[in-house]
Amino acid sequence: VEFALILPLVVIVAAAAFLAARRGPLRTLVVADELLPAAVSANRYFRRRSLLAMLAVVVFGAVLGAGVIFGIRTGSPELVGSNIVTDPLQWLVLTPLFIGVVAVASFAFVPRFREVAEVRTAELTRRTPLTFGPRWAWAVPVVSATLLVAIVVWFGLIAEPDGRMFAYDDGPGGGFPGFSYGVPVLGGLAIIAAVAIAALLRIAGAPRPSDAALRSADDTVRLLALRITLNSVTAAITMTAGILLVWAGSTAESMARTTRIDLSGVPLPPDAALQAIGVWGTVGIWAGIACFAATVGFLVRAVSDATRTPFTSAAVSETVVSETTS
Amino acid sequence: VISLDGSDPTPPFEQIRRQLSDDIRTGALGSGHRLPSVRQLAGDLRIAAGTVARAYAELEAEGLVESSRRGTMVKQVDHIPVEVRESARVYIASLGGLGLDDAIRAVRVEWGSN
Repeated sequence: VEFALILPLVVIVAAAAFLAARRGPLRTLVVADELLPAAVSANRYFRRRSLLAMLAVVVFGAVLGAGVIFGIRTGSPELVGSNIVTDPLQWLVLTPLFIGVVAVASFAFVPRFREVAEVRTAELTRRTPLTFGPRWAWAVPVVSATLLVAIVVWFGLIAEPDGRMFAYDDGPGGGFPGFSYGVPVLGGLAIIAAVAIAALLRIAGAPRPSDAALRSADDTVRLLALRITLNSVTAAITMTAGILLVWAGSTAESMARTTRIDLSGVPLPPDAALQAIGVWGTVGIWAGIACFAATVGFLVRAVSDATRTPFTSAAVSETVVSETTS
Repeated sequence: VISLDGSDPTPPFEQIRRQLSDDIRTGALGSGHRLPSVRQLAGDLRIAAGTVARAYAELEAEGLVESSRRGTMVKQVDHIPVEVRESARVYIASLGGLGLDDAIRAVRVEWGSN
């Protein structure tokens, strides 16, 4: 059943990847004849690296996802809430972040343009990840991470002291992502943030070519690599937030639907507080679904960038000949 | 932009030091400008990191840059006056194909006689 739920996600992302692969290159460049092999080689490296990175992410995600589902299906109920290693729910919550870490680490490579010039040049400004691409693009993962932290803290504060249950008075209750699950999520968030920062610094700091046309190609490749990294991180975070919200929302909603009885066995109507919990549960579920939809959007953008040809290049001599003949 | 000529017999660290020194003294690199990291510049110029580190160390010894945890920054220095640079430009124009070494030698001779 869980795999059936993943299927639409896979189909949407695969369709987007297919459409993206049919798109034209991001940029068209004319380079000196002797630099054409360097440009062609860099382009080929980027596409091969993207393919391998996507393969690594899919394989890792499939293995981890299957392991988690197997653990939930076959594991003993006592394992739920046991500890971070044996509790399959811990792994369910952490899976998107771990897959995100693998994605970010796999895409943190940019091609080197192999020039043969005697004179090499370099800019005298310090390159940072902010050098490439618009600054607002950085706000998206930061805002999503802030929201995830807020959700973890909020759920942690309202959960029972054991950090994995939510209950109303002595009445209904259920499993809940309190601090018992939230603290490992914060740990996972710290790990993916550290890996992302290292990857972004690596992408920005990699050697640049000397030739102006190749620098333009280099800009394109770095921009794509940075966008893939940021979208992968954001997708991992929004997926995690979605899981927590749907889990918490389901528990709250089912609590409101639970029929309580008094001491004489007469069913009690749900009081105002319990009804409010039910409303919050519905809101939580829909917010979680919105997070899943956002995840699909970020994944499509990442895959779209990863499958796209960064640039096409033509030698100056070829361009001159074609212009002359036309 | 800094350039490194592989066919120039001048050692790479000296080429870097000289260009940076000129840029700082002429004001092309202003006070507080953050230079690229040793690793970044070495990667771009495709030379060993130690070569760039040596150039930076010599610039620091000359009082042109200072290194801290934030990186290597250009210090406040007295720039070469604009009139002097204009005079140099006139002098260069009058050389008639004479090389840089000979031009500097001529200045040195006259400097000594003054």
